[in-house]
Amino acid sequence: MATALGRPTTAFTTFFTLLSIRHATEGKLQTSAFALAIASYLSLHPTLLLPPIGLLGYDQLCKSRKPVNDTDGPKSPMRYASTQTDRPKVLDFGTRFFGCFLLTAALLLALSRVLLPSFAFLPSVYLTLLRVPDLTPNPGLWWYFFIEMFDPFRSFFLGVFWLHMLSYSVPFCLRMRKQPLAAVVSMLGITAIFQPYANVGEAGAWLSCLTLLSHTFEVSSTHRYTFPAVAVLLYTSLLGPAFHHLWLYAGSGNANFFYATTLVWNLALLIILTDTVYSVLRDEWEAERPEGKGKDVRQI
Amino acid sequence: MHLSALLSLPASLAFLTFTLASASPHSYTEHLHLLPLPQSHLHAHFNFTATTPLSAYESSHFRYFPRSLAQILQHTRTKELHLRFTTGRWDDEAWGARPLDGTREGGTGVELWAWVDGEGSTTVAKERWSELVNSLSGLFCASLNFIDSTKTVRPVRTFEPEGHHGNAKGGLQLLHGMLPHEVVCTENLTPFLKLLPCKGKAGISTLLDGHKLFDATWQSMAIDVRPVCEGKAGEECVLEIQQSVSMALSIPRSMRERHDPIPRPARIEDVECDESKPWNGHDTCFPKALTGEPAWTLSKVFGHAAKGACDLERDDQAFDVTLEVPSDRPVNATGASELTFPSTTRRHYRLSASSSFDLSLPAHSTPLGQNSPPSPPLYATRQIAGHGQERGSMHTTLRNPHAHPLTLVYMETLPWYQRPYMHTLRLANGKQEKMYYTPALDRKRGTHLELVLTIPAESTATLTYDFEKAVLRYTEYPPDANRGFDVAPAVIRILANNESPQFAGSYVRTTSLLLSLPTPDFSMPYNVIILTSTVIALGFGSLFNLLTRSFVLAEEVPPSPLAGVVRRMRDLVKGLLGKNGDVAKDEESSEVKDGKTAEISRYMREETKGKANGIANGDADLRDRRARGSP
Repeated sequence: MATALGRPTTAFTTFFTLLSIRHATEGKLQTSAFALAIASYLSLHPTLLLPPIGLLGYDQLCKSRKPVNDTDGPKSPMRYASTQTDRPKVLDFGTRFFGCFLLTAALLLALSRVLLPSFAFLPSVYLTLLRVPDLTPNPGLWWYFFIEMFDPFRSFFLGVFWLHMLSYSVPFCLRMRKQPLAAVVSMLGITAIFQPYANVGEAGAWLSCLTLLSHTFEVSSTHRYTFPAVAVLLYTSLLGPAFHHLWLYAGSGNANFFYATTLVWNLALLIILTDTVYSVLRDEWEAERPEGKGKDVRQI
Repeated sequence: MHLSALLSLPASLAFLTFTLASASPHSYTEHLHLLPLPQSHLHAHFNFTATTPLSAYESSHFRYFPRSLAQILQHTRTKELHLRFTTGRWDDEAWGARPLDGTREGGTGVELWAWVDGEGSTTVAKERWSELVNSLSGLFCASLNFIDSTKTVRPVRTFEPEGHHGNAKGGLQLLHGMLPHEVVCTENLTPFLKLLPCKGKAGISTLLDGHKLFDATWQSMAIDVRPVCEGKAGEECVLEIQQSVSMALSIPRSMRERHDPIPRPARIEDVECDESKPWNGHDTCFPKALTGEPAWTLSKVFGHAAKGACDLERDDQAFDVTLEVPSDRPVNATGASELTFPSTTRRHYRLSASSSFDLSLPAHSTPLGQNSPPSPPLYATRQIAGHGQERGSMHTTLRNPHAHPLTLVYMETLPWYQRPYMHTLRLANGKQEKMYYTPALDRKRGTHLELVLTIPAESTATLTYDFEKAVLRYTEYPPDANRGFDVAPAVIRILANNESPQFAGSYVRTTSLLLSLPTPDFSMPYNVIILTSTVIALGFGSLFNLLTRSFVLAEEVPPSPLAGVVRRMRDLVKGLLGKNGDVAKDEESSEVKDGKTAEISRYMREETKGKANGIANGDADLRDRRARGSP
């Protein structure tokens, strides 16, 4: 519903991303790579989902080639990797997946080149995503920051913001390698919050993807901050359009009003994201140590 | 009658050029044309024309042609130049057609277009154009250097060269730039006067004073440089510079004394009361609407009389000042000789070098109804419609009052932060023949739109399109950001078609517009940076902690080194203070708010319990568990 309200063109990107995730869960890596390539061709950031979706697909492939003595049924929330000899080769899988992705992307770019007079569409489409020249107000963190930034520091902060966003993909995969679906959903959340042209549609799509991790909702020890986060989200989603109207149409509000609501919106999404990651990791830990369920836990 | 009135001014100009052509190649003439307008206004058109043969120009031998301008033109290889400084608005409805059919005026602010020899390359032409605007900016004390690539366009149909370029015409490139925000004032008039041979010290140029000129309802200063080849055998081409100042002054306003410019109401005895409207007091009433013309004197209107004459190589039949009034209006002229011509509405005067010239006209009661001013080819107005600072729409009304259709070119240059949606372009009541459109690139070039339209007879066409406003960066806003940004006027050129050949080559310009863009809070750069960085750091920190730390049960938390230090210090203090110290320690531990020390204190309590139970075992248990349980 949020996607319908926001009317962003990222609806197509989200569709292809979800398609890619679905095919990865079914172990079909070629179609998964194909869908992900289309999503990345439309907007650049699904490229960050390559490692998690690759991991997910690999994991599913491992699972589908279960050895004879594997007693864990499909109901187990933990997807264990099978023994060494039954695993498909990592390098083989990686090259096939990555190669399929690159091939599809190249095919789409070549098709665009055929339809357009020159390669000038490449900087027009992709460099504008990277360099953020257009600063239309959106519920993201970047636009006001780069409006108020002085020119000599622009490129530095652009680099910092992009580095920050790129730095989440691989660590999520490493830490949640036993639950690649959680890595994918968390990465979706990271892109929804931290991308330069954030929109409500992507956030909405991510929130609905949280239901994929519904197995963590049942345990009471996880999800510490659900109520505050949801309350804040509701609060800012009502105030955001009001302050936007007040700034641009009524002329009685300042840009700061709208900026503050975007900050709070992103904070709420961040709380939900960290809470989800906490609950996923806690769930993973509790599966290893069942006596810890419900007990007070510290992190070191 | 109307046709003759319309053609009279161009005809007089044609006469002037004829006299010019028959004069010697180095020549200079100046002329002032005065025409009272309806509603107590006076139109004054000053024209200063100097020529130099092209051979003299190329060998840098200048006599009447200004050297400073010539050097700029030579350096930048500009073959034809048109520069305009305009303020105010010409009231079409009241005053009729524009002077000289709009060919010697520009849009509000500064307008510049030139034909530059680009040697076949657009890059070379752009560089030369940039040099031209920068040099002209220095010469005229105007910020013409702001005409950069975001404000320059290459019009296709709107402008034609006025000069005779011969074979070189194909290599010339037309570039056009407008600065609607530019304020024109005395610092632009002074270099303009310095370009004249008499430098504003003699002749009609003495009447040009910054106080009166920029107080006018409408004024336009123009400089036009063009090569003229008469085609006569044996005569070479000349380069002609025409400097003109055209102004429409309000007579009562200009007649106010300089030392007392505040308008005061007349005494009630001097006011003619309008009997048809009621009034209550004995000292106020509705004044009768003024009909006819007030009395005016040239020296009062311009501040002082015209001193002397700029007599340079003119023949005896040339005249300096033309006053266009009906023949029944008495005129008193002093200090000049009057020349007679077979024209009932014009009086011509020739100034003499030794005396000052003054004109005075008494009040005239009959209104100018019988000879209303010639109607313009087109009435054009343009507005920005819509509300809010996100989007808007441009709305242009073009009214054709004549009994024949008009074909015109409508040219607009929009800044890049005003993004038009061309699919919403609608033309009501007119026909669009052709469209030339160059879309905008952010921060590189603006939108260039040229439409060839046909408007049917006696109808009003409406042109609308939607646009979106961009948010700019902090440093791109001017100091008065909430005023808004100026959008350049639209230039309309009437094209010749079979039914209306008399309006061909006329120009009509709309007013400039004010575009309000959304502004950020300018006091906030530091705050925004720290707030956004805080949110990002909160997210990053939490995620980093979650990803890099492992879970342990609360009881299994290994003691931190700090806890050991704190424990030893407490033991020391306990030992020193003895029994009294125990109470103080308990109070201390309950007051501690810091989580870590709370943990440590809890651990301390466990430790003391463990001490009672055998602390060595507890430690060993911990060590074993850590060895086993760490992932």
